[in-house]
Amino acid sequence: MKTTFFMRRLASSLVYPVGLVYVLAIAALFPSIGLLSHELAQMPFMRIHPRYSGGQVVETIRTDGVEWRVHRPVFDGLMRERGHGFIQIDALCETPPPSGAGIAPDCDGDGRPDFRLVLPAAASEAPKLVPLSPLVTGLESWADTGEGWIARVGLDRK
Amino acid sequence: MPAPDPIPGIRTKDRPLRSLLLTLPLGLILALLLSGGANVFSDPARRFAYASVWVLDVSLFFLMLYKGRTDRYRAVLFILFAAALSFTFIVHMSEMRGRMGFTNSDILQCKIPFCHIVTTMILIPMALSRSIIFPGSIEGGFANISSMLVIVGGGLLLLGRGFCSWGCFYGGWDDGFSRLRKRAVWKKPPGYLRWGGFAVLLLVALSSAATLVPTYCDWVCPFKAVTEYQAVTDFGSLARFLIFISLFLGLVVVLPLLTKKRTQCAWFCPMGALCSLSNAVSLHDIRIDTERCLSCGKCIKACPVGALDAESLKSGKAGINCTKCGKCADVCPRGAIGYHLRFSAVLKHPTTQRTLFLYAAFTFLAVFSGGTLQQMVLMLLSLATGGGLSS
Amino acid sequence: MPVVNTYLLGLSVGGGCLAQCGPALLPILLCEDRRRWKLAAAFLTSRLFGYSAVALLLFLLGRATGLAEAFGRSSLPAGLVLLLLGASLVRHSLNVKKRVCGKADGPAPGAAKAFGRFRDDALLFACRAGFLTALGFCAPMLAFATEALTRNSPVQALLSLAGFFLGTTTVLLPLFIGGFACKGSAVRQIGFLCGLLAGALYLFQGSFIMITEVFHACS
Repeated sequence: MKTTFFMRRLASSLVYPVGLVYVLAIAALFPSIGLLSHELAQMPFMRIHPRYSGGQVVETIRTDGVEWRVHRPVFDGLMRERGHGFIQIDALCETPPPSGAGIAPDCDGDGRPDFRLVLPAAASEAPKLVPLSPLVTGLESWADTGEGWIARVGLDRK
Repeated sequence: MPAPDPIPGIRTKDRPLRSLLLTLPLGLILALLLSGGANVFSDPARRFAYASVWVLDVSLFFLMLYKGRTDRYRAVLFILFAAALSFTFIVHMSEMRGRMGFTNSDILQCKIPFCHIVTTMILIPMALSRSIIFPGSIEGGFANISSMLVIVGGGLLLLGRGFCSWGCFYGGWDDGFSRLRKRAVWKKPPGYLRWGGFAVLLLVALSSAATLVPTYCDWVCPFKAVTEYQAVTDFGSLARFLIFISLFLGLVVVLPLLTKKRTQCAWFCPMGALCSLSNAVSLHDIRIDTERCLSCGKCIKACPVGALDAESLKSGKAGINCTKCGKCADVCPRGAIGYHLRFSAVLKHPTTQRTLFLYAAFTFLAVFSGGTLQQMVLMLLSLATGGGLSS
Repeated sequence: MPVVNTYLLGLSVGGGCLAQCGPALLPILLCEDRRRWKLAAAFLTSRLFGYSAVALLLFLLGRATGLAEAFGRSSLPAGLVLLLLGASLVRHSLNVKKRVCGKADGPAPGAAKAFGRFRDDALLFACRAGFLTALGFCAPMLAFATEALTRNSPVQALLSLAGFFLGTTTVLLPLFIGGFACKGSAVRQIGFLCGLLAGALYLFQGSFIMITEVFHACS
């Protein structure tokens, strides 16, 4: 696009005030971080991928002094679901947990439990997993959080 | 033929009164912003920390204007920022967790602090899966994702790749090591290495999108050596530990010492490559007055990221990977290089354009580093008075 | 298994293919300004050939002694292939280095000679890389191949394999499109560095797998 002398002069005049605006914008950026980050956090893409967050909690069960939070099975991939995923179980309790405290969730909705997860006797030990279905591949990861345990049980899709 | 620049230049070099007058508005801005909204006058220690950081920042800016040199004074604050961040980060992690290493518990509870380099790995998954592949917190907590994205976004829009010399809290490490020797041992590293960051960006963006794991963070980030890393519990985590320690020693310590270049930033950082893309739309850039240029090559030798070469001297423009540190302008014997505002005449009024850039860039650096530097001063004061390292 | 089903299966596991095969494809697409279509076609053809070779191998093993599953469970073949692929990538990168990083507009010193098309390093490398990436022995592919070959007729099995191949290739499409769109000396140099880094990555991965397998076997 051919620019006229007038347009070039206009542009070269305007660029200095714009430069000043940049300075003011930077000065305004930091005090507004709280507001801007709050607005950004409301955007639909600002959520942690279920492979890291564990997915939504679908069921909360209280038994034997333990509050169990069962998350939905996570098979989420980049655009499609993947063939292998996990289900996260959170157990909130005092340590040591009640002896033999466990849960047997139904992951695939067929009315039968797919595995049994039993809390360990002491902190820093892994929960015990008893698979009851061929879809369960094993204990993928676990952690003692200080307020209980988090366990992720590997699952294959049906 | 470019249109004449309508605004006269403001010369500040060797003019103390003019430099002081131009420093005062910045001093006022920093006085307001360095407090971060907190009551810094509540106790003597906070007052001292605030005042000392303010005096440091204002002095450095005054010297930039008075001496007419940019890079050496920028580097003081930049390097201090990097050191202070690592120091305060490690102390903070030690207080929070009792150790530098993070464990499965931190990952599963999404308590990992977010840093700007992760941005390169989350963009494609964010666009396709509308979620962030990082075990951090969106809002609240230490170094949460939304705050960091706002700062990075603002920095990229307003400074372009200038973020790498005026914002990044890791760059001070290799910048500092690159200044320790007087002469380079490896004087002419291959020019193609300046594209290394782009190759790394391609590979990590691809692998992160495909595996849904931030692969650069997981395996190769050298700065885990000065912040936090996955606790060594098995062969995999041991391999990761050895890799990042080797990369830190190689790319951040040894190679900058040997080449006097910022080798990690220039050759390996994917965030630097991403920032380079924003240089195309940045208001400020570095230009060379081809009529005044002697083609002596001092600027090419001095450039810490290899953004200048013979082509640049002919075309009058620095490369896309220019970080706007100002070192080339400082070393040029004819004053043929300087900061430039897009659409304005090239180096017609260099001091005005430089002053405008310095105002923007230095404000960003000073405010971004202000909180960290004050925290470090408080920690050191606490240590000195026998109160341990808690701030 | 209908072709459409296996195509969708290929799409769903394509993420792994993109991560594993993409780095080998990047230097092929970026280092050359000419013959990109030819090189891409060579890569894909040899990849399909590689898939077929793996499927045939598993079929034979399965028929012979039921070793297919045991073969699929071991990572040693995958480790070996990664080492070969890594070495191949590094060698290719060093071969093209002078041409890519030297004078960009000068004639290619390794240009194909009239009588020796098979001496062309870039074309040979594209074939080698395509074949080796198919021999990656990734778990989904192995499981699919075992299933397809032990249960279906050979024709159905080949059709299923073709569907799976098309699915995983679809995931690589953005790389092809991006690679064809980018040109210039900077792009060639980035391609060269991608090759070196990806080669180092595969060598590391392969070594890691071999060491872990040997360790598990010994303990």
